[in-house]
Amino acid sequence: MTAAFLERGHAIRSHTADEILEAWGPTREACLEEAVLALVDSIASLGEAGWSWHHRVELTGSDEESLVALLEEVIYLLEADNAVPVRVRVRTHGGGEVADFWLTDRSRVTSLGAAPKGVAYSQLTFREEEPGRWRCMVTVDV
Amino acid sequence: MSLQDTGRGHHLVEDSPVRWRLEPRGSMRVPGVVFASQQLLPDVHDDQSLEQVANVATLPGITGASYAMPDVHWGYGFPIGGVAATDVDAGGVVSPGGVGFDISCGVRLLAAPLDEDELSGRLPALMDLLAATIPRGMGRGGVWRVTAVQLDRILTEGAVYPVSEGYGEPGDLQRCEDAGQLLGADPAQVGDRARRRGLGQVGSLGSGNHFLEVQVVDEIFDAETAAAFGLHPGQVCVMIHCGSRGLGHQICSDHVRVMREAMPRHGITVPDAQLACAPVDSPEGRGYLGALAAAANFARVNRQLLTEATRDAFERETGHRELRLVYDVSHNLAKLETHDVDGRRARLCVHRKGATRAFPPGAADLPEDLRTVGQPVLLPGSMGTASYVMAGVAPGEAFASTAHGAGRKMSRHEAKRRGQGGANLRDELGASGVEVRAGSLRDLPEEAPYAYKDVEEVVRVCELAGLSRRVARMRPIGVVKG
Repeated sequence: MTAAFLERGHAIRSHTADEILEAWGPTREACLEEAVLALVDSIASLGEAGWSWHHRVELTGSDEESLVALLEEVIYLLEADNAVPVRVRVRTHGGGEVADFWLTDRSRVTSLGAAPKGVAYSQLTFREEEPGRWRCMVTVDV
Repeated sequence: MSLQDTGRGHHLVEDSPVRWRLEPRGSMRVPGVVFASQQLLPDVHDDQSLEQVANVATLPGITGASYAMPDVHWGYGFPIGGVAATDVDAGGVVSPGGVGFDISCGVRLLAAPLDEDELSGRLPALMDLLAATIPRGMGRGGVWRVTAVQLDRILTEGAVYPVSEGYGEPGDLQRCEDAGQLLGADPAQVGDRARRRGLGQVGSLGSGNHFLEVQVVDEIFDAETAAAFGLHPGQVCVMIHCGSRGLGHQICSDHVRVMREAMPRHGITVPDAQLACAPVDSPEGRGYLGALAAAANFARVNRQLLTEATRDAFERETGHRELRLVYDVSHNLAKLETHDVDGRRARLCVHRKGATRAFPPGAADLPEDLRTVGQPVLLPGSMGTASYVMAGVAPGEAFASTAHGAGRKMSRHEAKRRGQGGANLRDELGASGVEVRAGSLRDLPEEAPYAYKDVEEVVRVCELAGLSRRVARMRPIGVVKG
């Protein structure tokens, strides 16, 4: 296991009726990307699915608002467009911040478990625990 | 009297073997009241629902108590199984977190004109047909494909709209909460994203704990009330559990955000961010209630269209399509109701999150033919265990509320980890007389009976605590899972 691998990652924790996503990374952007990957992991097994189209959203507001907006975007894409992200990138762009999603059709992945409904603010945390170490925890209603 | 430490600075005082009290502490404005036996009391080490009961007790305008029903479990903001009423004329608030994401999630029960012995042999084919024709699972797909104009009618008119188009019969409206249409819906408060999520899901079950179950009336506890509900022993019934799908989920997300921004203007602080709220009598409060009514109407259309799809399947397989609606009631809703508070009639906003309205006999809002027996309460068990039909009782504890089901006791991951696999679970249930049609065998163990509390104990506590009384026990014989 390399140091680079340990620097970023995600996990899904148990909650009686919901799921708690935990993500970490060396930068705020990496942590946000890992949170998206955690949510995708709870929705689908991607297998070998490649991306078919690209979608971009602008992120505004506080760290917490950006995290919630990003995860809500994944839920929205799933339900409104039958789309599942296979890759995501968060970066500063033109003075703001954007998230790029590379998407595939839901029919090309294996659905897992109950569909997420929304992102809760209860016990939501997102902060830089120490220089170069970001961590977030967020509850998703399923 | 005994005391139990909740582990977070609160003490639970035993008022009776089925009623516990959290004394007001800190910023709690009212006590917490938990209806539970020792067996059902949440495990304070694994479950934070008692802390959530205390948090709800801090909401501006809350009156009486912050209640927890016997099936209470850990939610976010409110516990699942939480009831709270706020006094509208005393600055009482409405909180989207007191309803949850799945606005107007609820249950309806249909009674078929045939008994179990008339169905035997045809059940597997009926279940196959229901599995093939009931839209379910995550994402898009529904009985109806609608235009934006039709969606507006759904949001405004509720079940009245499909019934007027021939998708149902007048009796379907009489036996639906609010006669199928929650007044006060404001489609302008339903955002574009909510509309887009809802457009492709009109008439769909969804996923998770949502289901369509074919049941048999296994035992009657009150023959007179069962007769008023239209139930007799051995009768085949169908129970449908679903809500407002992505449209309701998005409305919750959108309006929580609006209220988070508005709270400083109203001078409100809350101990849990998901309890974001605004006075009922404020632009944000009125906006949410208008959107909530629209979502409730969507949910009723959803269950109405699944009713018609069920009738179609029964007609094809049994020759009978006359499935009559026993009742349709939500268990995730906030409603403006009038209740007696300290000897006066008060206008309250009653939040029920994972709790069922249970009006007692005599309630003016009940259909005339149910007024002497009380409101039907539909309390689903879990896949493979009994469900119950109950009735509201006087005087109407906890603002006339009761439990909404068995209540989860295990996370989905834990249920999967402990389980023996979906195929085994399906075969096991089949051997015990329940035909299961799962959307995904891999995910079936998430909803296994062992993931839920003991529904018999929940029902027993509901009766002992004076929340509702048993009318009939329903035995599952076929399940279509989302």
